[in-house]
Amino acid sequence: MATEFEPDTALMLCVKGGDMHAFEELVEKYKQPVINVISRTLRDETEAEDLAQNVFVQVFKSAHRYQATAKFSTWLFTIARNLCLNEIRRRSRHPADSIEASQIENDDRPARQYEDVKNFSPTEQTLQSELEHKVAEALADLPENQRTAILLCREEELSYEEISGVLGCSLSATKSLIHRGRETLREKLKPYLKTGAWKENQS
Amino acid sequence: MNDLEFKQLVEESWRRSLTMEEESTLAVYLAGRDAALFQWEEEMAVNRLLSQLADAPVSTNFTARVLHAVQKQEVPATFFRWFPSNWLPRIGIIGALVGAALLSIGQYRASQRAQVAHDIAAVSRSVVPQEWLQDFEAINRLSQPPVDEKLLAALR
Repeated sequence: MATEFEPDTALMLCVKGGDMHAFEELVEKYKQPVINVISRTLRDETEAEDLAQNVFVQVFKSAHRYQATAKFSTWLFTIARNLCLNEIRRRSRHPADSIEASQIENDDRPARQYEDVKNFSPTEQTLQSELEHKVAEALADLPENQRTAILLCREEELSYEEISGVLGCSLSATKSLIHRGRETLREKLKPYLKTGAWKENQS
Repeated sequence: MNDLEFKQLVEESWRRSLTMEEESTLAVYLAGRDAALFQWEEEMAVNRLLSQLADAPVSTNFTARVLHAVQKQEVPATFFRWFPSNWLPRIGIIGALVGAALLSIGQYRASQRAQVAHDIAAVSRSVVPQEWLQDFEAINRLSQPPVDEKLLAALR
């Protein structure tokens, strides 16, 4: 029955039936894009991981409500966005608290009982570069919905219909958000725009 | 390709790389259209800048941590799987109706008790004149029918 659906939906239906291996597969596949989106939204890589963990736990807890009519990635990023918005609200109320601190009160999980080694790939070294810093800064300065729309475009190549599903707005409004966000980026990053490269490639 | 198709292609380029076919169609359209070419180059430049963003670092034990957290939640999750979520509204409505019924029965009984108490208090408050009761014993005896001795004897 599950073979009629796209692979992620089929996996999610297995999770609904209690299959932990299917859940593990989904976590492996989506951890990077989810952490990327959260990290760019919160501008905090450490807390992005904790929040991403909450996103996947929420996915598992809500598995019984999952309907195969929704694409899994749309559902997943909707949960991620909602948790990000909650975190932003929480931060505005309690600026000094971290997610970790608020979790420790209610959670007996040994948070770092496993090996905790970060992967520092060569591309991460460029994270320190001025260009990347400027791009990240310009992105972070965008309104939340514009930034999320642009990141979902980049991260998962979600269709515009799916992005509008995550943002809870119409298709035309979604395209307008992306357009306006890119306009702002273009203005802010004007000194770094290297035009003409495409023309060179074509010739 | 017309202007609308160019716009659609620009929107597609925000999400993905164009195919060879799309690029060649675009090259034909852009030839001699300086404004469109400038716009396209700026779009590409923004795409390139966005692609500069590196992935956020992820702990190697991230998946293990998620699974550990989930296993702690598994018991209630299993319980709720046996408890279909579409029952909750029905159970809520039935509960509310039963609650309302019990409440109205309780109120009815309380009002009945209050009425009886009120009546008893009214009777006890009413003063019966003493002369009404002075011949009570005599009248009571008079109202007794005489004993039919013959009938008693026949029955014996």
